[in-house]
Amino acid sequence: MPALPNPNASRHAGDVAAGAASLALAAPDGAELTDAELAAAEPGAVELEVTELDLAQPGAGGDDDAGLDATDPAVASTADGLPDDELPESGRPSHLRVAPEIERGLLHRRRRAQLLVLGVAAISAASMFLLVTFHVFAAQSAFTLDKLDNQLSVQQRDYGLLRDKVATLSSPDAVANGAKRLGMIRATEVTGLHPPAAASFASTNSLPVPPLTPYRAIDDTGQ
Amino acid sequence: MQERPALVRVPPRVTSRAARPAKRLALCSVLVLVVFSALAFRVAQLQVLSGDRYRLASLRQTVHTVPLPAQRGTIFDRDGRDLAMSIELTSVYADPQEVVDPIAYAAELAPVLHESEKLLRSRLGDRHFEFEYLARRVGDDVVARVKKLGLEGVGFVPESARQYPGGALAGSLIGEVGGDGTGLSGLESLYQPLLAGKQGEMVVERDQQGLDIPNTARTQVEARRGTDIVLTLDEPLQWETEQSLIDEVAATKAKGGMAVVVDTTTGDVLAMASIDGASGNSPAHPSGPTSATRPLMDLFEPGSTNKLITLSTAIQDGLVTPDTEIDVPSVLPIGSTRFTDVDPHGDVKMTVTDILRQSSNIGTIKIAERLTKDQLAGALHSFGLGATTSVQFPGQAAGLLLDPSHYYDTGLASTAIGYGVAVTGMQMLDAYVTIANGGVTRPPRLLDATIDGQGIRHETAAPRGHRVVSEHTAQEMSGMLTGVVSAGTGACAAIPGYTIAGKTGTARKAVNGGYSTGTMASFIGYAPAAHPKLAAIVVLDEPASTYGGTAAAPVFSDVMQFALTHDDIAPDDPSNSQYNAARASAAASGTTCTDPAVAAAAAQLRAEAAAQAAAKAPLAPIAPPVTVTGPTGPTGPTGSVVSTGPAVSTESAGPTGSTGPTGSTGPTDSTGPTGLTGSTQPAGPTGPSGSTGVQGPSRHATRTTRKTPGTLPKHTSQSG
Repeated sequence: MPALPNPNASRHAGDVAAGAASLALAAPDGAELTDAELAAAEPGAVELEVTELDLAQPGAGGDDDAGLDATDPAVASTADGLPDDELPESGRPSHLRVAPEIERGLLHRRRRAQLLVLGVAAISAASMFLLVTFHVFAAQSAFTLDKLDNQLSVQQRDYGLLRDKVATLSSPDAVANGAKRLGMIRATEVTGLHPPAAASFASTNSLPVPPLTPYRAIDDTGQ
Repeated sequence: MQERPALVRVPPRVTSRAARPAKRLALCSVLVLVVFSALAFRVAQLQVLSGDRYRLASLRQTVHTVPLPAQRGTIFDRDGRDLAMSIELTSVYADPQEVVDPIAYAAELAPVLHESEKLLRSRLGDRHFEFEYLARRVGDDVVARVKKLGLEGVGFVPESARQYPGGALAGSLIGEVGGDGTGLSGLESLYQPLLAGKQGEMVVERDQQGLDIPNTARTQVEARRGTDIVLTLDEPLQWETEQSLIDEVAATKAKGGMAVVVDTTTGDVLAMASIDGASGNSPAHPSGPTSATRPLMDLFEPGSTNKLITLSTAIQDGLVTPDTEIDVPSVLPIGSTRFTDVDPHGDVKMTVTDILRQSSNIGTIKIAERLTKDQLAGALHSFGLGATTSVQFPGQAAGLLLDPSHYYDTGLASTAIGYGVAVTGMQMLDAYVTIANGGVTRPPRLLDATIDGQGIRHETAAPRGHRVVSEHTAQEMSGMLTGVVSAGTGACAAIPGYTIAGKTGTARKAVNGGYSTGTMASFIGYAPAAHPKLAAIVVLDEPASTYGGTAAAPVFSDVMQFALTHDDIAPDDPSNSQYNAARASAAASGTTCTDPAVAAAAAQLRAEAAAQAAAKAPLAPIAPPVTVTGPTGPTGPTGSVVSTGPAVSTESAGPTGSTGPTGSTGPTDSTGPTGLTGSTQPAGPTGPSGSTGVQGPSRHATRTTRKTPGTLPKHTSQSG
C-alpha cells in the first residue's frame, strides 16, 4: 500500500507520535502490522488507537478511508517527528533517537546544584539531629537539676531539724537535766584556787633560761 | 482478499468524565472557601474582637501565682547559740470528700496524731470542705506512721515552724510569732521587718488538674531569707539568772522577780530575766511570751537604790564629801510627815559613807536638803530616769518623774530616798553602770549584730554615752558602794574572790493612793569594784523576807559569781577580805544570807533523802541545812556564818504609817505618783495559757519548750 502523504501529519507531529507510540506497542519489533495482524489483534486496542488518532486529528475528516493508515511505514516514520534526513538508521528502533548533546558547563552546574542540595540536606539533618540531641540533654539536665533541687531541699530541711536537735540538747536546761539524771548536784560551796607559785613569776630569777637556738647565733653575727 | 474489518468508533468516555471533576472541583473550592471564610471570621472574632477578654479568661484559669515563703531569720545569742529558729515540719490534712469512713479513719489516726478521736471524726466527717487540718507541724515519725496507714484522702503539706531550743528561756523577751509567721510580741515583734525577709512568688500555667503545663512561660521571684539577729544575751548566763531568781521567788513566795546583767564596758545586756511567781498549781516560772518583760515594762518606786543619785549629785556639786559628817536625828519631821530610819537610833553624827552604808533615810534627806529641787530633778534626768532606755523593746516604760514645781514640802525628801519616782529596773541599773563606767553613761543594748541573707554580719553601732558626774565622783561613789557590801546592808551580795560595789533597796508598793505592806526588794551592784566589768540588778516583788539585803542580794551574789567566772574575769580580792568582812557584818547584824540555789539544792537533797528513808533505802549523803557557806582554807572565808538572831536589817523600808510619805503631803497625795508600781502591760495572764513550762522551786526543774495552745508539738511555737 503506497504511503499517503498527509500534510497534517507533520503539523500534528506530537499527536501522531503518540499514535505511533501506540502502534509501536502493537508491534514492538518495529515491523509493520499487516491487515491480518490488525484483524487478529484485539479489537478494542485498535479501536482505541484509532479513536485517539481521530481525536488528535480532527481535520482528517470522518471518512475511514481518508484516515491515516497506521500500518503505513511512511506514516510511522513521519510520526516520529524527525526530519527525513534524521530518520533512524536501519536496525535502530524507530522510537529511539539520539539525545542532544548537553553542555559540559550545564552538567557541572547541575552537579554543583545537586551537591548543594545534598549538602543543605545533610546540614539540615545534622542540625535537626543536634537540635534533638541538645533538647534531650537539656531535658536530662533539667531533670537532674530538679533532682538536685529536691535533694537540696531535703538536705536543708534535715539540716534545720538536726540543728534544732543539737540546740535543744545542748541548751542549759537539757544539760542541767542530764547532769541531774547522772546524779550531779550543785556545789554548796565554791573554793577559789590561787596558786602560790604565780607570784614567783614576777621574779626573773625563777624563770628557766631559754635554750640557745641557731637563729640566735645568726642574729648575733648580724647575718 | 479478506475484507478488512471496519473500525468501530467508541464514544469518547473520557470527555464525559473530564467534565464532572471540574464541577466537583469548583464545588469543593467553593465549600472550602466558605468553610475557611467562616473559620477566618470566627478566628477574627475570637482573636481580634474578643481577644482580650478571652485572653484574660484563659490567664485566669491557667496562670497561678504560687507564693514562695521566705524563711524567717534566726535569733542567736552572743555566742551564736540558737534562741529562736525556723524549721520545716509537716502538717497532716484530709479531704473529707474523699474520706470513705470517717469513723474508721478517726479511730486509726487518733493514737498516731495524739488527737481526740471525737475531734478527728468531726473534722473528717465535715464534707462541706475539701481541706481540713488533722495535725499541724508534726515530726517525721508521725508522718511515717500516718503514711503507713495508707488512708485515701489524707495528705501532707510542709509548714514552717518556729522553734525555741532553749524552751521558755527569755520567753517574754524573745516573744513569739503567730500562725502566719508574724511576730506578735517581744523581739520577734520588734524585729519583724528584719526577721521576716521578703516573700517570693512563682507564676506558672497549670491545667485543670492543677499540673504544670510544660513549655509554658514561668516566672519566678526568689524569696529573700530573713535577716538573722544576734543578741547580746548569753544563753547560759540567762538560764542561770532565771533559775536563781526562780529559786528565790519560790523560796520567798514572791509575786515575781526580775534581774538584768550587763557588761559595763560595752552596755551589752547579757541576761534579762523576768519571773512570774507561783499561782494556783503553777509554780514560779519564766514569764511567757504574752507576759510583760518586767525589767523594761514594770514600774516601781526604787527606794534606797535611788540614794546613789542623791549622794553622787551632792558630791559632784561639792556639797559633801564621803567623809562629811551629817547630823542625823532619830526622827526628821517635814511638814506633817515624820521620816525615820529602819534601825532606830538617837541623834547621831554619821559620815556620808555611813549614811549610804546603813541606808539612812534621814541622813540622805539631810544631804538632799542641801540641793535644790531642780538640782535633784536634773540629776534624775541626767542618770536616765524618766525616759526610755536605749534598749529597743516594744512597750518599754519611760517611768515617771514629777516636775519640781509639783513637789510638795515632802517632795524633795521623798525623791531623795526613792519615793515619788517610778522607774524600771533597766533604768536603775543604767544609773549604777554610769558610776561603774567612771561617770559616763553606757547606754545598754540588746542587738549585737545582724546577719543578712548573704551571710554578711553587720555590727550595730553602740550608742554613745554622756558624762553625768566626774570620774572622781564616780570613784568616790564606788568606794562608798563597796562599803555597803563590806559592812552594810548589802553583805549578802559578797562573792569570794571579788570586790562588789552595790546598794540595797526596799520600797513599799504604792496601792490605791497609799502604800501596802508588800515591798519591792532590790539590789544593784557591779564587780570587780575597782575595774568594773559586769553590773546586775535583782528585784523581787513582795518577797516574804521583805528587804533587798536579804531577798535580792543573795540572788545577785549567785548570778554575779556565775557571770564573773563564766566570763573569765580574774578575781580582784584573792584574800576574800570583803567577803569575810561582809559575812562578819551580816553575822553581827543578825542577817541571814541564804543562797537560793544552795537552799534549793539542799531542799531537794533532803526531799530525796526523805523519800529514800520512806522506802527503807540506804540514805544518801544529805547536805546540811546550809544558810551561808564559803570557801575554806587559808585564803578562803572563815566558814559558815549562821545567824540565829532575829532578822533585822538596817535597810530602809520606806516611810510607813504616820511618818511615811503617805500623809497628806507625801508623794501619794492627789498629785503624787500613786499607783506607780503597775505594769505598762494590760492585765492578762501571767504566762502562755498553753504553756507546759514547769518551773518548780527546784533549780533543776524540768522545763519543756514553749507551747501554744492547740496542736503544736513539743518545741514548736508557731509557724514563722
